[in-house]
Amino acid sequence: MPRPAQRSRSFIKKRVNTPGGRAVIHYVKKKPSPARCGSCRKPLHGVPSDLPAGIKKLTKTGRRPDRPYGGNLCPPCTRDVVKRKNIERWENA
Amino acid sequence: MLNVGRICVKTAGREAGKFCVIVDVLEDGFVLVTGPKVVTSVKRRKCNVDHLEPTPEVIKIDKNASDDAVMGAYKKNDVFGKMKVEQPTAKDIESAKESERKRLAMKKEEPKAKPAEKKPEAKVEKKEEKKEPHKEKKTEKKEAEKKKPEKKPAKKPASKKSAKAKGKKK
Repeated sequence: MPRPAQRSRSFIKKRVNTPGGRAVIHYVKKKPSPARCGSCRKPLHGVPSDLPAGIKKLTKTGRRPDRPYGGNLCPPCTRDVVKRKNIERWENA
Repeated sequence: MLNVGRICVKTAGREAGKFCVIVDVLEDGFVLVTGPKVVTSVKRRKCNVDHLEPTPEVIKIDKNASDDAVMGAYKKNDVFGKMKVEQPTAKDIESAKESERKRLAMKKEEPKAKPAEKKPEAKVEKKEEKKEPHKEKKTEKKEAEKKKPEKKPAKKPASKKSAKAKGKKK
């Protein structure tokens, strides 16, 4: 029987073979879903999904790409934003 | 539109949203571009035309102009005011040049020093260990074996055989 804290549905039951030859169940916490683009809703690259304890160990550059709007928008969407800003800036002048 | 002296904005990569100047036009849709690096963080290298967005600003520059010439042209045409960028001070320019000189000096020194140090040390250690316990006959054989194949992988089987011979004799 699992202990009461492990009976929640936020745990995944993972079957593991021990060196002693037994099969044992490990209760592993679920990972969060992958990050998505803010405008087009496609999954983002370069943004790892993990529990906060795992992400805190990463460096600043290991958490998001080194581009403007890095962990926020996908590359095609950033291109659109940069182009639109450029056009607006030179329209009035 | 994409001619020498045209100011463009980069749309892709780390330097997206920053402006640069076209210095030379290359083949196959590529273009040589500089910031220069002190003003915007755009290095002097080639860029794909699809990743650039041109602006209506043009400057008079020679083909393949140096970064110093580009800075002079920026001051004449008041590019810093138009693009809303701070003018770099003389200290920033000097410190950038010094850091580049150091980086180039480090590059030249490192690859030459490392391989020269490793090889003679490894050879000397192996020879000293083998000669001491063995008799004279076996040292002659091993020296002959070493001389024929002077490559590193050939030496490894010789060391294994010598280690086995040591164990058997003792």
